Amino acid sequence: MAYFDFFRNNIENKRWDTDCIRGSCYEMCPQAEKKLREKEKLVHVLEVVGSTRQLVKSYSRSAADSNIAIPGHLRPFPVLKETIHYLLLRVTKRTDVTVSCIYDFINDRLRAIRQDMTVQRLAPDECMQLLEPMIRFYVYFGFRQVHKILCTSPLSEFDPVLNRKYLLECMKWFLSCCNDMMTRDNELTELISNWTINNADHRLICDRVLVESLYLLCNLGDMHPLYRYLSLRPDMKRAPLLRLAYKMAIANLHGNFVKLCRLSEKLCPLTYCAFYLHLPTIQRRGVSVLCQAYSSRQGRVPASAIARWLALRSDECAASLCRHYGLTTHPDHSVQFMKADFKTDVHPTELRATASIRGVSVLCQAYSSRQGRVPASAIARWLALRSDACAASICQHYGLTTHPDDSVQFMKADFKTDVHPMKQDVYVPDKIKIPIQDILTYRSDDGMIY
Amino acid sequence: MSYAGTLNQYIQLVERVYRTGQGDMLARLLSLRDEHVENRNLRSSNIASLVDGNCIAPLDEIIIYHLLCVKALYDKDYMEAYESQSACVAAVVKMLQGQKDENWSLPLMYTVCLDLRLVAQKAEGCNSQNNGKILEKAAESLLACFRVCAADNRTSDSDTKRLGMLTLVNQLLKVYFRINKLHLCKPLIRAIDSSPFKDHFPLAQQITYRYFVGRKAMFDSDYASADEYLSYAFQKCHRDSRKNKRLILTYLIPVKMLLGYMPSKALLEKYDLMQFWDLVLTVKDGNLRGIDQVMETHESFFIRAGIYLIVEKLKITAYRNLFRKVYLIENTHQIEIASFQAALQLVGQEDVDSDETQCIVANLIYDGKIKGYISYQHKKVVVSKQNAFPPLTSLYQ
Repeated sequence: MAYFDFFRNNIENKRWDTDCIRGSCYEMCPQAEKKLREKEKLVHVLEVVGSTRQLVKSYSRSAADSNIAIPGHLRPFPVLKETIHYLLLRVTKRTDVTVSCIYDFINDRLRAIRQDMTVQRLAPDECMQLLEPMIRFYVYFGFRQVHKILCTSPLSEFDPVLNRKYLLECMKWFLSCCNDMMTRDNELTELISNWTINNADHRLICDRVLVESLYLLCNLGDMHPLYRYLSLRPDMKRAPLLRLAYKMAIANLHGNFVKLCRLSEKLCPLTYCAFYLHLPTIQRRGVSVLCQAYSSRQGRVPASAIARWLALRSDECAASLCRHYGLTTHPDHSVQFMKADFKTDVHPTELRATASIRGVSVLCQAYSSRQGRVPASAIARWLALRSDACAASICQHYGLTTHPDDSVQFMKADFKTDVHPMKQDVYVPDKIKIPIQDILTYRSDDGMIY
Repeated sequence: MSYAGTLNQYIQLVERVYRTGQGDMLARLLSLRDEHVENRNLRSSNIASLVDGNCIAPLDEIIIYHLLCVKALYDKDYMEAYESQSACVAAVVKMLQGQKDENWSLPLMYTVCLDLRLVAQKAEGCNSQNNGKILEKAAESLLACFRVCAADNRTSDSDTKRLGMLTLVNQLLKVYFRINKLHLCKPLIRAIDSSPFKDHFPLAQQITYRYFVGRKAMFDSDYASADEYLSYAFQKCHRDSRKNKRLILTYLIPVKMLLGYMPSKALLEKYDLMQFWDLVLTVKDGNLRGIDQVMETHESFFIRAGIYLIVEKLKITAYRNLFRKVYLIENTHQIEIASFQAALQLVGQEDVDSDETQCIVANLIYDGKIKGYISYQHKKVVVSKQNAFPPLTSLYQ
């Protein structure tokens, strides 16, 4: 938020063109930093391109004794534009390092860009052009991060909280630029909606409708983005993607999860990424509502219906979601909803931690006995699961019997070897399986996606 | 106060009033809304040099900036007027800081602060590029006053400047609501709620305060508190302040409607708020198509007042009323989902299918607005034999 506040204060001085520092560094990295980093062997692996080096100015905190306002160390707008283009469309093509390594590198260099923007007090239209691709980057990686945590190790190098912080910082900055643009000149926004860099097939653009839609969907459940939407110009409000995002936010306001999940299918890749992060919470509320409404001793609800209502991929997913919240499921894939069963203290994201199939299989062999049971709490401890319920539901997933006292009966014969590791949330819709360069450059009004 | 004397006479008068500690009188003599501003003798071209040395500090500065502001207003230079008034407030802050253990000058502070806000609004209106920046700066000046008042905690209860806090907070709330910076209200509200003088402030100020705090609670979806604050404001507001009563009702009515109380037609007519009447009828009827039409017709009114989303939420009440009608018509405790669905389609929700109908019913059961359960196999809603649709007003007590 620091940048944002700083920017807000600075914007009071409307004299952008006079009176402020203009950078005079016409490379992605100032000479001084280049020398220092090469001498101290601080060149990042992603800055080595074949036999050459392409250094990019790295982020350094503005400390009391360092002067960050040196023109020779600051890059003017065109260079920043080129840098961001290089980072997002070229560096992301690298396959010789891990994704998290690429993320950390780009994130750091983007922060340095934002610092240069702040120090030079770039005009709002310039800021918008630089921030829009950053927002796309953070939204996409916010999704990738959670997804990665789901698929592989629960202990990931990614930090979703920090990512979200940067995302909101960029988004608020962008939106406040929009406000300033609106008061300056209504038409300008449209004029700058296109970038002119055209090195490769991909070209970074500035899509305001997309950012406004993302603002609604990243903050689902918050009233303020809704008030903002209502205050927008009518022609902006009519943009199909933004309209869709608003309808979803209203469906969410009404608690209408069926409509919400249904509408989500029409989202474009990035807005889907933003929505995806809310899905576990929406599903949790959904199960809790269903549990109240269908609560009956006789009646059962087929898992297929629940899957349909809550955007789950399979009956199996639906059943295991319900089990996660303490409900009883039957072998015919139906769920018994009983008000009292619903566990209110279970966290929606706990389901995400997936135990290794090997762990359970080893335990099953080792503790196999007709008399003995193992408490779920122990299994949770051993397999780094966050709750007993979670452990129990994973054991059930592999065919083992669990008892009401949250203990597990390990029987060699019970273990189902043909069951895949729990695939609760690891599904990726096809629309997101496109190259990152496409994600970072598509236009929301193209109609190519939805 | 009509006043036709020379500049010197004016200065002497102000000084005498200041020396004798007549707060209200001093406030009038330095107000932009008093008759003395019409006096041509006070609009000399070199005010600063004429006042300087002619009057005791810190009063000289206050007079200079006040008269500069008057002059700028006559020249219609509102930016200049704002700058002068802002300097005037700063001078008053200095004066207040010098006055230990006394609070007779609070009326002067109220007046210059109110004038500052009015001038800032005027300056803001002249240039759309300002976009709230001037009001934001004005808020900083007001905060400087607030700090002086809030910090005065060693003086006895009758002489403390802390008694001036609420008036300032109200000015600040007005600014923050105008520039849409509601998150800044929180520390102010906390300061007032924890103040020992909470219930001793003048009634008029308490009403204004509760009006804004109620609106804030409404924005934060805390409807029970909003109801409490706004109801207080409405009941205590003077019967002749119709404009204010109408303003309070603009927010109180939708909040009350959410809580299950529908306003009478007479009340809406009395306060010229008939925009709500169609809404009341359609919500009562469960006519969702009608609600959409009302929202379209009065869209700008609802959005400007910031109650558009509350109206959107009233649709849930409309669903409940619609389903209640179905229940009364069917006259049975087991109602087909299909009947509800047909009713929804009848009121314009053509795209709603069985799944979504069940979701809407499920939410109503979850909220306690319908007593009963859904049977998936039989595609029926089984409602309680007694009180299947409890009155909404009974749910929020």
